[in-house]
Amino acid sequence: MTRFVARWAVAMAVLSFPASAWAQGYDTPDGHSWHRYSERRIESPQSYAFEVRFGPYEPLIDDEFGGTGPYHEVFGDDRRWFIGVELDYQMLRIPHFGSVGPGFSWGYTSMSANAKLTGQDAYSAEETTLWIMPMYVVGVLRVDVFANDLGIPLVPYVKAGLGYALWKTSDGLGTSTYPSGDGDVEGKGRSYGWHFAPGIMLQLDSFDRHAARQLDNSVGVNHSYFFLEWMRSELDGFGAGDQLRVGTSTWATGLAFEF
Amino acid sequence: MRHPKTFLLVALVAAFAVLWTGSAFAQTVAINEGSIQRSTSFRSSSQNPLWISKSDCLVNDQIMFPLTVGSYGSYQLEVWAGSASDDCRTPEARRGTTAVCWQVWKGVPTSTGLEVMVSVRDIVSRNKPSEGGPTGPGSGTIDDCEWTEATTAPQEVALYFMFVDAGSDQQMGGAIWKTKFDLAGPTAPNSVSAGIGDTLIVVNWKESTDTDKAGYRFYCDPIPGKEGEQTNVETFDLDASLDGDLDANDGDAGDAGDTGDGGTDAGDADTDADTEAGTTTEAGTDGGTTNTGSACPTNVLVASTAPNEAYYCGSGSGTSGKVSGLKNGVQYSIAVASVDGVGNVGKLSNVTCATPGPVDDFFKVYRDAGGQAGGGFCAVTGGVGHGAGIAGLLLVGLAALGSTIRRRRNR
Repeated sequence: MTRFVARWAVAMAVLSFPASAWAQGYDTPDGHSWHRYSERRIESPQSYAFEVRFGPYEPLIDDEFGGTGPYHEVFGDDRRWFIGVELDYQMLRIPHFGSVGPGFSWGYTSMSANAKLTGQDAYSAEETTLWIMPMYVVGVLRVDVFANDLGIPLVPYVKAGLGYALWKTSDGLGTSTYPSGDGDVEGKGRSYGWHFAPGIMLQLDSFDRHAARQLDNSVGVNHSYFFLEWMRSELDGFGAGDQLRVGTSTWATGLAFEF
Repeated sequence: MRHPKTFLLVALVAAFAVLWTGSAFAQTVAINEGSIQRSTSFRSSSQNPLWISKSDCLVNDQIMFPLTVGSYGSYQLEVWAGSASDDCRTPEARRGTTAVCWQVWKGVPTSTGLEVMVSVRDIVSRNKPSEGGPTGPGSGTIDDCEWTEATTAPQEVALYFMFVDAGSDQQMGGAIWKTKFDLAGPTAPNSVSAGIGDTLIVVNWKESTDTDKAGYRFYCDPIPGKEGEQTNVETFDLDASLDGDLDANDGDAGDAGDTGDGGTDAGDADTDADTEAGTTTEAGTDGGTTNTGSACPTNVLVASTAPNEAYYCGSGSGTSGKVSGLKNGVQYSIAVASVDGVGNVGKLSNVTCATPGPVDDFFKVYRDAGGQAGGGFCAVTGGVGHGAGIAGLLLVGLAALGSTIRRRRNR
């Protein structure tokens, strides 16, 4: 009992997290029971994590031009959003620490605006659009010792690896083109660079352990999380000058499931 | 009765004989609906191929019904048309002052297999005996293709294929086939406006309230690709239709006109400059949208009249569409008409006009600023780190794949 109280105290001190978030009781066939983190249930095998994510997305295109460039000139400051999914393979499990493994993510975002008339400040009725499919292959370290051993339902993590994106710009007639000496250049391409993202996940199991167990028993989902992440994709071709810097520096949130 | 059993037996045999002969000689008509043909080609399945449109009527389309008839004897087979609520099987519905049905075909079968050709004009004419005038097959004329009623909704019609006894005028056996005829296009959309783009015009409108509409068709003058044949041979004073705000921008607008592909081919130079000025100035103040109403230079696009299909230049749905393939610097007059589910085109909306001009889309702005990206998803333009990036991605992917395979083998 002393250890129990001590752990709760540590958790309260380390994290300014509402106590109600994990001081929840739950019903069992034997009556009401308080969450006891040391009472580990028998879980199905766990090897993967899947995330559904979204967040604002502002590509870093203008970084190439010193901060103010074509992106803001055309698309302005309106906030755009991206959606994405990520699948991680938890290749290595470190006892009483966490998991390590590769992960792959795919996302999508697009932005549109009315194009300006050439040589004027006036806008035409023709839309110009840029869509981006940001992807990355990363190594993912998830530290779940707090949730699994200490009863603190938080899992910090970090992802680092390579980012890659496909992008395409279009006007009212289809894919944009730009005349050059060798013929028209199509307004589509790919960009790559590095990707880094630290974040923290709130384990939702502690809010309803009975439902969490049922989820595991029925579909094999061991844990579910709400997560918040900051990510930076520096898709500049590692310094190459021919990349449209469609990476971003933003936050993302969503739901994650380990199974 | 001395032999009641014998009497009962005879009675039963007699009754059976009567019933048997009755059924054996009943006149029957069956329509092989899967083999119905039209003298014109069928519309697509999304356009109600068995309905009757105004176009079908104008070309005097014939619908061929393959029938199988039985016990026809010397009876006449007649085909009567009526609305969905009328029953043409009763003599009162076909004859005299109470007639609500009209005859569209008649003939005497000579074999059990029969092909009946019914004129769609006879179907849509609705020439009833009760109304006087010519009736019967062949009475429908091209004039009947003009719809004069207020509603534009499709009209349901039922065709009764039946034998009719000449003496009693009673119907004897038959089949019913239902379709619809629609001779009027839906009402026009409202508040049509045009916005300019690079070799294109964005057309916006408020949807027609007509429930019969299935889409919209655009009509342009001049016809894209035939800009030298514009019909607006008469000069017009566009300045009179523009508000005073435009005057202050004449200079800029003139510049914009200079950037086009050579200006319009019709009209004098002054008119062109003013026209482009009006278009581009309004574009600047109203999100690239113009709506100059009747000031547009066209003699062929007239609001609330039927469009000339020679000037068709595109189609759309919802409340917006694009007309592409235009020449920058040429002013186009545009009107929109609604179209229904069988291809009937309604009357034209208000006429608007706009002059396409070059625009700066994102890629142009990016490349003009010095950006080098682009060329395709697989384009290789070299540069520092290019190979390292691709190799890195491949390595990570291979490592993950290898690890997965190794782990599965270890299980």
